[in-house]
Amino acid sequence: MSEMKPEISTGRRFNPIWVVPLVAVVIGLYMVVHTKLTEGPEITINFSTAEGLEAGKTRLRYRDVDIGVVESVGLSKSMEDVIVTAKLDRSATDMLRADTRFWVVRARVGAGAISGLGTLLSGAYIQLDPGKGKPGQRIFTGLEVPPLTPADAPGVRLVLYSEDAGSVSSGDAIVYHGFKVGRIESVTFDSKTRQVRYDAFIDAPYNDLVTSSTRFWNVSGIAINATAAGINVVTGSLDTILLGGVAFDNLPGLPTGDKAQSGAIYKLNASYAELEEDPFQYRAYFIMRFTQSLRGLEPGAPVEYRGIQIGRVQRILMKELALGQNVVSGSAIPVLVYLEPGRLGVGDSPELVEFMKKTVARGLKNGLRASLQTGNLLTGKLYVSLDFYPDAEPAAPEEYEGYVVIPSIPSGLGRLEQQVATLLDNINALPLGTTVTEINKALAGLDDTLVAMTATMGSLQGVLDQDSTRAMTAELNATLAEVRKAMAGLSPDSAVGDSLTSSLYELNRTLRNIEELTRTLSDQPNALLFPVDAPADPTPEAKAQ
Amino acid sequence: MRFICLFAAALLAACSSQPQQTANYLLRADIPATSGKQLAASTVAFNAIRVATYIEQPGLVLATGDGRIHAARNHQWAEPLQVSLRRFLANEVSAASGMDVSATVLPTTASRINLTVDQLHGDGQGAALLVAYWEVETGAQVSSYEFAQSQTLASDGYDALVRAEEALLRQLAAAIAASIKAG
Repeated sequence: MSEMKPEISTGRRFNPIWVVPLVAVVIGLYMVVHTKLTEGPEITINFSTAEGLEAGKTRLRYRDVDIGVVESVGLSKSMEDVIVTAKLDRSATDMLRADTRFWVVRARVGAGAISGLGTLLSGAYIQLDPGKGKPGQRIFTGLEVPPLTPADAPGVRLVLYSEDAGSVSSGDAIVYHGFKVGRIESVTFDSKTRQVRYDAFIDAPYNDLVTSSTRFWNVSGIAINATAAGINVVTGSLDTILLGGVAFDNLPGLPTGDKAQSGAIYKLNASYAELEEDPFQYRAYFIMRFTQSLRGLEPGAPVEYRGIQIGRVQRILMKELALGQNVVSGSAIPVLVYLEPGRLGVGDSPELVEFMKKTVARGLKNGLRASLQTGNLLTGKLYVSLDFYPDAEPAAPEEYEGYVVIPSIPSGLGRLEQQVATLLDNINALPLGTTVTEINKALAGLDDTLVAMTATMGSLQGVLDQDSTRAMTAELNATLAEVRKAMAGLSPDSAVGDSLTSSLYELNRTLRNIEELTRTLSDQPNALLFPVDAPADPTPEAKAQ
Repeated sequence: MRFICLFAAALLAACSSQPQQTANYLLRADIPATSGKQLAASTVAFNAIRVATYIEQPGLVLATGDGRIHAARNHQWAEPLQVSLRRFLANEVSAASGMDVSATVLPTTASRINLTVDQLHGDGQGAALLVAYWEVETGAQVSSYEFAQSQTLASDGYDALVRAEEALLRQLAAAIAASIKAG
C-alpha cells in the first residue's frame, strides 16, 4: 500500500468563490443608486382628518392617473392634524409647486351635487391639482373640500362682499340673464371689515361680461312685491330658487367700463331692489353745515342739483360736533353727504370721483351753495339742494374732518328773513333827502310860472277891454237876430211847417197802406193777381129796445 | 176750341167780384156861421194828443166780444184821429168853456192840455165806449183827470156808431172845459 501524502502547496492563490459576494455587492450598490436615482419625491400633506386614508393603499391621482401612494398616516406632534406621507412618481416631481393643492376625493352628498360615488367601491384617493408657483415644495396643507374650479381654469376670480351671508353658499351659481356663467367658490367671514367675503369664479369667456360697471345681487329664493299696481314676483332659475345664487349685470345708463381683473372687489347687494336704491359704488363725500333746524333731514335724504338727485345724506355728524374742540354755542351742525358721479350717467369709477371733487371745488368759487328745502309739506321731510347763487358772499375753502365743506345759505323762512332785511336796506339807501330837495326846486319853478301866467292874464284883459273887441260882440248879436228870423220861417205855423206836416201825414198814410198790403200779401200771396174777397165788416148793432 | 174759350171765359167770370164801397167819416165840430170874427188871444192850448195804437188807423174799431176787435175796412175816418181830435176838441172845449182854446201851443199859452185817448170803439153790445186821461199844466202846477163813458147807439150801423162816438167826445170836451175852469 502506497502512502498517500498530502501535497502541500505553499503558494496563496485567489479563490474564485469570492467573486459571488463581490458581484452581489456591486449589484446591490447599483440597485441602491438606481433606486435613489429613479424614485419619485416623498411629500408630506396635512389634513384635518384621515377618513378613508390607508397607508400603502390610498393612491394619489392626477386626472385619474395614479402618480403615487400614501406611505404612512400619522398624527402631528400637536395631535391636531393628520400627517400623510406619500411617495410620488418621479414624473410628478414637476407638479409639486408652492400652490399645488391636494384634497381627498371621497363620496360627498351636498345640496348642489353628489360626487365621488366611485370611491365607495375603490376607496378614497388623494387628488392633486398642480400649481404654477415655485417648484421644490414638499410639504402641503390639504383642502378639506374639493376646489370647485381648477387653478388653471380660464376665467376670472372675483371677491364679493356683503353685510350678511344671506342664502348664498359656496358652490352656488352665478348667473347672467339667467344663464349660469360661474360659481361661488367659498364663503368666509372677514373679521376685519365685519363683512362676508365670497370668492367667486366666472368662467371664460363670460369673464368679459364683468366690468367696472357690473353690479352683483342675490337672486336666491323668490321675491314677492305687492303694490297698488299688483303683485310682482321675481324669481331666478330653478336652481337659484332652491339653492340660492348670485346674478350680475351692468348698470343701465352707465358706460361699460374696464374689464374686471382677477381679484376685483364688488359689493353683493341683498336684492335687485336694494341695488336700484343704491346702485353706485364710488362716492365723493362732502360736509355741509346748517344753522337752521334739521328736523326732517334723515340719512338717505336726497341731495339734488336743480331737482336732479346726485347724491344722498350719509349722516348728521352730531358726535363729531359734540367732541370737537372748537365748539361754540350755536355752531352750525355738520352733515356728511355724498355725491355719486354714476347718477350723472358719466360712469362709476374712482377717477370720476376725483373729477367730481374738482368740479365742486371750482363751483364753490362761482357761488355753488347748499340749502335745506322742504321736500314734503305734510311730513316735513327735508332734502339738500345744491345750486349756484352768484350773489352769495365768497366763502374761503374749508375742510372738516378731512372733507371739503360746501357752504350753505339759509332757505325757507330764513331766506325770507334775509330778503326782507335786504329790502329794508335798499329802502334805507333810497336818496329821499335829495328827492325832497329836487321837489322844492320844482315848486320854486312853479312859482315863477304862476307869475308869468298872471302877466299873461293881464295882457288878455287889455285885449278884451279894447273897443274893437266890444264892437265884435255887437256884431255877434246882430247875427243871432238874423238866425232867429230865419228859424221863424221854419216854425209849425209857417208855410214850410205846414208843408212839412202835410208831407209827414202823407208819408204816414203811405206807410200804413204798405203795412196793410204786406199783411194782405202774407195772408193771400195771390192778392196781387186776384181780388181779395175780404169779409164784410160786422155791423154795430144798437141795443134791442 | 170754341168750347175751351167758353170754359176759360166762365172761369175768369168766376174770379170777378163786386168791390164794396168805402164810407169815410169826418170828425168835425159844428161851427156857427161867422164872418171876419176876431179870435181872442187864447191862453189855453192842446199840447200833446196821444191815441192808443189800436185806434191809430183809419178803420172804425168794433169790439166783437171775448177781447177781439175788428177794424172796419169799409168804414174809415177821413183823417187820422190825432189830427181830427185836436181840431174837434179845440172847438168843442172852446164852445163848452166860453174861452178860446187853441189847437196848438202859442207863445201866449199859459195852460197846456195833454190828452191820452185810451179807448174809442163800439163795444159790440149796442154802445160806444170812450176812455181818456188828460192833465192840465199851468206853470209848475199839473192836475190830472180821467174820463170813461159809454153811449148807446141810436140804431144799427156805422153811422150810428160815429154819432155815438161824437157824442162821447163832446162829453169829454165838456169835462175838459170844466177842469180848465176849475183849474
